Amino acid sequence: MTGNQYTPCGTIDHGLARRQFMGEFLTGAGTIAGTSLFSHPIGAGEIARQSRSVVVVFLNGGISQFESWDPKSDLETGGPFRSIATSVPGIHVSELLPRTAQQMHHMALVRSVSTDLDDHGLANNLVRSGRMTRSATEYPELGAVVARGLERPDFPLPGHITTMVGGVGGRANNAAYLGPRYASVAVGAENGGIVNTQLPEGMTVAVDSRRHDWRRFVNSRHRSRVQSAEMDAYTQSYEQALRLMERRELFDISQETDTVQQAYGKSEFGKQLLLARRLVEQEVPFIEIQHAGWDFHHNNFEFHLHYVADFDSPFAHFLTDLAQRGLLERTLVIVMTEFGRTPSINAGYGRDHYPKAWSIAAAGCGIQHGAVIGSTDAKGVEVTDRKVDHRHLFHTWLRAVGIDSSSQFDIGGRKFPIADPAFGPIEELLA
Amino acid sequence: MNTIPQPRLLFLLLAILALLFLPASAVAQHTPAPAEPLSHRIDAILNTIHLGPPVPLTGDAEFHRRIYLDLVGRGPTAEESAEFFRRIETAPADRAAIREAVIDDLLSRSEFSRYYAKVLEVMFTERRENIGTLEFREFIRRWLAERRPLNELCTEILAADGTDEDFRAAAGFILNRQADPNLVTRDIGRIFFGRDIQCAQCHDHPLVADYEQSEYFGILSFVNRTYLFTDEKRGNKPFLGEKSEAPLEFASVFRPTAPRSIAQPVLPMSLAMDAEPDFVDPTDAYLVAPEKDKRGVPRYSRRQQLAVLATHPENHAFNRNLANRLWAAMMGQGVVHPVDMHHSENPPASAALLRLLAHELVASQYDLRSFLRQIARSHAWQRSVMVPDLQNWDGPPGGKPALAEMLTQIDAQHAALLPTLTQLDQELSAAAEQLQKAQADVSRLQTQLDDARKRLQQISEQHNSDSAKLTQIRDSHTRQLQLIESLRTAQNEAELNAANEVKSSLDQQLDQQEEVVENAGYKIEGLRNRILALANRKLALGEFVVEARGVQRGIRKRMLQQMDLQADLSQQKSRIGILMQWLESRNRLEQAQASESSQSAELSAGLELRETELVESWRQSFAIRRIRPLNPEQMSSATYFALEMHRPVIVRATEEWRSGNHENPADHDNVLRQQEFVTTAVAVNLWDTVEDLVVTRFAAPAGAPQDSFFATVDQALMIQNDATFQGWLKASDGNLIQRLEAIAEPEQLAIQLYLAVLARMPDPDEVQMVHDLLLQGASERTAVIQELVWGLLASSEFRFSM
Repeated sequence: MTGNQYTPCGTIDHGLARRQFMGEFLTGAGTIAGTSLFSHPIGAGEIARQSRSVVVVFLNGGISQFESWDPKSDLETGGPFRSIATSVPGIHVSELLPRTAQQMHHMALVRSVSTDLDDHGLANNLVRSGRMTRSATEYPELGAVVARGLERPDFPLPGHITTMVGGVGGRANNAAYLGPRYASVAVGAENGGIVNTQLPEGMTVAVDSRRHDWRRFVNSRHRSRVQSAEMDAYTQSYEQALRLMERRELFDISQETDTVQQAYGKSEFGKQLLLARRLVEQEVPFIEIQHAGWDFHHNNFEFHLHYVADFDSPFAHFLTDLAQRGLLERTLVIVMTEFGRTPSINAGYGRDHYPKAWSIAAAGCGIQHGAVIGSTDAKGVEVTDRKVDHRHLFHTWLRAVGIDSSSQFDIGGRKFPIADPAFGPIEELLA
Repeated sequence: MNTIPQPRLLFLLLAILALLFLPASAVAQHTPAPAEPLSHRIDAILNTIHLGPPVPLTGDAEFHRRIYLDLVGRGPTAEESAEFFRRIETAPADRAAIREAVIDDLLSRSEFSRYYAKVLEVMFTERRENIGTLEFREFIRRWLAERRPLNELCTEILAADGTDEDFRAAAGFILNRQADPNLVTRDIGRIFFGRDIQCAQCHDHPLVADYEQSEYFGILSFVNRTYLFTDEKRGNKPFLGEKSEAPLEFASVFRPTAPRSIAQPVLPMSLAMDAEPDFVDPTDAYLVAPEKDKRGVPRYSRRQQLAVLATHPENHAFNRNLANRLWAAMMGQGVVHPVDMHHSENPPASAALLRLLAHELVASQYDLRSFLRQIARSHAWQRSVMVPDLQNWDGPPGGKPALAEMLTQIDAQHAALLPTLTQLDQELSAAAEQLQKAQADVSRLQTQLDDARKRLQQISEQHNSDSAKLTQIRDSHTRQLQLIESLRTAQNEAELNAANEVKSSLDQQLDQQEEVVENAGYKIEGLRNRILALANRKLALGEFVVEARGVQRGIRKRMLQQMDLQADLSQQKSRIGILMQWLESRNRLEQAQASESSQSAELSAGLELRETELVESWRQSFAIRRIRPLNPEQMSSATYFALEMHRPVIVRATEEWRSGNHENPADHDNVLRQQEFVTTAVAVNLWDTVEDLVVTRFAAPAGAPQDSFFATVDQALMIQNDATFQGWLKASDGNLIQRLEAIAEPEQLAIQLYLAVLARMPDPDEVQMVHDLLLQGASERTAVIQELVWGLLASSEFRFSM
């Protein structure tokens, strides 16, 4: 295994650059990274400007693998839909994904995911955090780990964002021991953005800048007497807030041309993907988009007909857009869900929860394009080849963006392995 | 409010403030004075390990803000600061006594109990909610106000089941964790013993050799019988029930094929409960057997045992953890840090100090105030945060040779400890063998007991079916007699004979079955007696286990002492090493500079790094004070009091008190009640206004350790733009903005501004700056005053304690 294998996108120098930044920055945040999180060997070179991003599309509720990534021809349980060819010879997906099928050359499929939990909440947490949450232990979600791993010191935006459509969002609680700094911030795609990013009513820009000058004066007096990394982190957070306020328009998708907005579509999902693309352009480390409602215990096929269609076109366009703008080579896109659906069809034409054999799709940075990992039997009951679970996947996603998933976080003297140390990535999925 | 003319309002305020901050109790503390107060002994220990230049005590203003923040959770008000500075100015020679008077005054206020209730509540719940925060705080506040011992508070918290209304809040520790046995086990380990044994749940701790899987299961065995019981008859409120179940077994996930071990209820340091009584029938084990609508109450409650053992003065892990956590609350850093990582790989900055603190905490009968008073009086607590001038320091007397000599001595002392440790190790192995033997005897008896119980159950079942059969035969017999009687009356000879034959067969069966039943009855009695005898025997043998654990505990105690000595030697060695490296770095740089070598720049950078390391080592050993962020509660209280939002509340509450009570300044009790009424009103108002908003942004999420610092953009955005926050900056009701508006003279305004928000006097440059800003913005004076206040509130000086 050479270092190059871990750097499928960008150059080897990114890791170094970020590593140097991080060293300074994490000290500033009051936490000191004991070991480098990056798998790259240290090399000399100019500081790269490119950064990686991860976009997770979370299909909440559990999409059916049969009606998406792992169609079965078995008439009894495979459902009414046919499978179609994709842009990669030999790979077939459900006919419900005609546009995404044409992007398969940017993508990879894992058809052999096998987990234990069939409860929505628990399974959701399982795939997000890559580990089983025991009652006494909570693990940070992928977004928090990536935000921490790909952190840069002067970055004005939050590193871990979940998108929403209207309204303004706040900070969530999903970073566990990494701390609230890495927890997700909800960002509205339309006239909202982030809470408190607008000046108080009646305050002019002039008055605002006057009070900040005074604040800086008070801080400089303080700093001339004593210094600490924590003090600097605190004063910096105000400057970061100001930069964030200046960039409020980043969160406003109406800044895009009509053509672009049309191409993404007017659905909530399309709007959030467009916001995600804007954030990827800004090199935000982690963005999550939720697409909820995939829990079809009844009328599975009718619902999938509509839901997959709602997903397919905007998602395919998102990949095309990223690729055309040269963003896909530094962006990992993952289509997640919490479990699959049963091979059997119940009395209400539905499919129930089925964690034993299901699929996940990914695209872009760090993964082997056109790869299909594992397989299931003819009816999709059992995994027949290369059984993997949430733990392998978690390692894989981190490695794909150059984070060494086998190292540890050192949080104020407490040590935490980044991913389950007894497992490793799916090597053949990595580019 | 608005009808009161201004001068009278001011007078009223002053009177109330004087009243509010009167010492709550004039009762003298009757603690027998030890030869040397704890504060001196703390300093004596820390002075011996500090090899750097002496660090001065902090200035008066820093002291004053620091002590207010640490004891009552807020900064001093402008009046309090002005009064303190005046006293120092009048009698600068009495500085130490004036400082001690401030410490004593704060400790005697009801505000102290109120703030420490928050500190302890956050420590116990880590912001998990179920039993409400306020309810839990009120319980602790009352406890502290009554000056009851801290260890007994901890006992109540582990013992409470939520049924007693007066103690219900105490059950919050377990209720807020849904009585989840693994979570409760981990957090008892962390919060009561300072040991995070979570990873020992599935195997021996991978990183920490001290934490064995048996330790995890030792605690778990005390709590795994406790469960959440929701009472439909009492509004679906949750309570704690307890079952009496078979012992826990565990196996390592790394060695799944190895025989499983039976978990013994034992706490760290071999602290175990008495031999556990046995019962003949499972139902005998209960006062109330658990059912769907009945809360289980065992005759012998393991959790009650835990409550006593966990908080017992003989429990060193408990004492050390509590002393360390209180020290950390005052110093911003534990003697062991992080505070839940007591183990040999993470030695205390000074084991001697930790030992002393734990010992004195016990000696004070776990009296919070006297313990904190001594810490606050120590030079260690009163040190400056300023880094001493290293340019003009030549290293410790004797220089490097003296340090090298120290290292040699340390190595010799270290070597001298080894034989004792080896011997103790052997003793411990021997004791472990004894324990194992005693445990094996008990286990054998347990097997016999289990067998006897099984047989008893079988025989009882057989007995039941035999008795049923006997009843059947009796019934047939009775019917047969009736038949014979009726045949006799009917003089039906032929059938009578046949019936008599059947009867005699039934007679025979009846005799046989009666015998069977009778015999089984004897067997049952015999077995019950046997079980009783075995149970008594097991109890008696259990005494040997208890004794063996006592021996182990004794050895561990001596071992701990040796390990403390060892830890201190290695810590001192590493500190000397750091100092020597710094000296060496500086020498090399001086030489290079003398010879104008080109390496100077590189060496100078190297020296800087060494210097950082050196200063950090001094901070870790409490020679220099660390600059500390305010905790979320301090941040909200400090904001609230800086903006003087308490003033109108005090006025209103006092009026309300006067309208319903007769005021009598001569009656101490009356004064106290009024003080309590007013402080309660302020606390409630603080909670309703500032606390929630600020804590939401500044506190770590529920269930996470609450001692980490983080600065996030949403905090800054809230302070900059949040409408509620901006609302507090509007002039109203005698708050700070209104008070400043009324001051015409810029210098006076600057003084009041700085006193109120930063608890210090402004220097001439700062006065000038305020003056200039007021001049520039003369047309919008109120806005400028708001900006001035905002700038100080948003500053790093406000966010941190020096």
